[in-house]
Amino acid sequence: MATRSRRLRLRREQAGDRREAITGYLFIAPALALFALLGVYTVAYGLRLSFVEWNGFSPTRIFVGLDNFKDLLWADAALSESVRAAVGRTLVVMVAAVIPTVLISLPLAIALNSVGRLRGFLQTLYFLPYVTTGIAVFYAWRFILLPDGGLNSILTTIGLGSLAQAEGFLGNPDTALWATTAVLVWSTVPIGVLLYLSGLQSIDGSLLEAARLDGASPLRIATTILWPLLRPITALLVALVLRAVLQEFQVFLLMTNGGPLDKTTTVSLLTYNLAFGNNAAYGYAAALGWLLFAFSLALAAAAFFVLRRKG
Amino acid sequence: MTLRPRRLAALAVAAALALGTAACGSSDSDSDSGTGTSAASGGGDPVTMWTFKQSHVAGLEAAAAAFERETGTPVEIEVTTPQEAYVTKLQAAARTRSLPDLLSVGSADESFRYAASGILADVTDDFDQTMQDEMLPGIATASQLTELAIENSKGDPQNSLARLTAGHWYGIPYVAGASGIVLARKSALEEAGVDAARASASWEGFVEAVGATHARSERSGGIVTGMQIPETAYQWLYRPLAFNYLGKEAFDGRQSRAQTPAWNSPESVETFTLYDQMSPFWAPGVLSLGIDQADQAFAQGKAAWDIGGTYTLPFLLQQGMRAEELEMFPVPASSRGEHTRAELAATPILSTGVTTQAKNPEGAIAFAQYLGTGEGARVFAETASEVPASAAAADALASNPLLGPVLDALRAGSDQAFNGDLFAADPVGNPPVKHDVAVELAKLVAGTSTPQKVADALVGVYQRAWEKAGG
Repeated sequence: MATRSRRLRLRREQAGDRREAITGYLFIAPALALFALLGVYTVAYGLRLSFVEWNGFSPTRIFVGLDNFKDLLWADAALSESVRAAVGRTLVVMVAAVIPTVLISLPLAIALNSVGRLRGFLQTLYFLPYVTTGIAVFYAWRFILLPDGGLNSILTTIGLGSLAQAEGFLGNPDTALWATTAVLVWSTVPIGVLLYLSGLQSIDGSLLEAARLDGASPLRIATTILWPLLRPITALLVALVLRAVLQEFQVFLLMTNGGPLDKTTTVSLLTYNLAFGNNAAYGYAAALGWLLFAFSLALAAAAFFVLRRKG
Repeated sequence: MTLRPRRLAALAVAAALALGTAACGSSDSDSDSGTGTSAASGGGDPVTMWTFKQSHVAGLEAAAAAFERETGTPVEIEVTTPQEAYVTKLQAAARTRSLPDLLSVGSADESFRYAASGILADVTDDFDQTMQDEMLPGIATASQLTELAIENSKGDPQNSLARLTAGHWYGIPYVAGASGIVLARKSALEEAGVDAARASASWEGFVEAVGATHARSERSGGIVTGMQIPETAYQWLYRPLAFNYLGKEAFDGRQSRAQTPAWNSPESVETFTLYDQMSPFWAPGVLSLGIDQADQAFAQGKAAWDIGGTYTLPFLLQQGMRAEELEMFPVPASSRGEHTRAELAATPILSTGVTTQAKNPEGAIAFAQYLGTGEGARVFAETASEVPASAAAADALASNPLLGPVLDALRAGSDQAFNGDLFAADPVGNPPVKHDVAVELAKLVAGTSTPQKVADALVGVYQRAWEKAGG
């Protein structure tokens, strides 16, 4: 009798657990459905596109296997040359964006951390570029970098006219990539400052106080105490900036459209142009997107490996 | 109020189902997407037309209003800019079966490509001989699909025109015109003592004139075009110059599989040398200007000269310029070339294509015909300041101080006239070879190459392109 009632209780409990589990699943169903539609479906669709030739209109897609990847990498001489050139430029931007972002963000964060009054106001001020970055801001930068724009005027006014660019910083093939990269850095510095600031605020104040009492200069404190303690933050920032550079195409599309002479066509912009240019080639665009993804994955793995070793 | 878990779960299921239905319904269903428009065709049902040209909206709306007064059929005009956004919208609409009745499309290449993809209908039966005869000379023929175009397209299976029929039309032209047009600011010419007649008579006179305005003011006396897209200067300035210098046969032969004459032959190198004569006179920052930005710079007085097409004029007028302020003439021919007088061929620029998903195909055809050769052509051309495809509408614009002389030039063109939009001699391929050519050419403007180096580079560019195209 006792065994039977225990069994009944157990069965009831199991049924209750099952109902609870079903209720839970039903609750997450909308999110799952949304993810399946917007996440899994689009990724699978993109993968499928990378194996076909398709112009975006035609009802039929021609299956070409790995040909799109081969064309991008070596088989199509003109296209693979464009891809190689775009990869080279992207690598330049990666290096040129990461180093200044770190070198500007850290001192700014240290300075902000030591400010007593107006800290909130200054934090908001430094974070503004991050929240305002977009079409309007890129166009504003375009005007600043034009031949008769603000930067040339300032350089001329302060006696540095030799640095002014007669063709503007975006019209000169030698300066266009650096100018667009500078705007990219301008938009990534705020996130760097924010990350470093949160890292600085988590450091034990007594450690810095002890260093000061021992006579360490601010520079020595920054290089021998803060920098090593903030290394995980730096690794995260580097990863975030690299991701931004690999994915970012807006700044290049809106400010230079890849010109002059294709000198600012990065891999992400080339991908965009292959998909949405006059002669849409979605297969090439998807394949290049997947190659970019593989590269990002390798980069993330490398960063993770380095981070673990340092840790 | 609190809801029991079961009721909450039911709500969640309902929401998930609703989301799924909403998301899938538009892409998978073959039925009408429910725009609210009756599927039945008929006289009074509205016709919808999409365009990508903001400067055409007023003209199209004026023609639509006149059409409604005559037939009782309302026409709704919708604009999507820029052109890339328009194309993306078309691709999405084609897949969700929500295309409008009519599309504004490029007359030749684009209308064929869209028809081959199954989104534009064959309009040959509705574009009869009478209508063809009512067009400006050469317009009907140039917008007709040719055997050569079908043959050349076979190297690119995805864009192959093989399923279409040679000799047929897939759109009715409504905008004609020509590229390779020089626009000049009269006041800048006067200030520099430049004689417009001399500037338009020969390439040498043109270079001298641009040099004079540039010498007067480097900041505002230069020349612009949308060189951020290097194809612009290649198509609008170099190609007419090279065509007239080399002559039609050599110009086409250089692009052909045989490359005869070679890109680095003396006469070909000379075309680059002539083009390079203009290099010192480009406006500051020209390599960073898009097409609209270049036209805006000209309209704002930052350049004395602008290179474009007949279609540049409406944009300049929209920017506040007045027709009386401008001089307009074709890119002049060199006095040492094969043709010493630049002749313009009237080229079909835009057509109205009737979509295969049209809800009112009869109304769509009627409006396309009205815009092509009817009263709508005149109303549109006058309002939009565009060169119409219709000869009668063009006659009505004969007194227009700017368009009148251009129309005369278009009518006078012989079979040696240059058609700037014709790339039939190029190898097919994606991305197209013209981008690489244009980038090499832009190096002259940037001062990073020489005519000989450009010529040598193009030999390789065309060899690779023909190999890819199956040669």
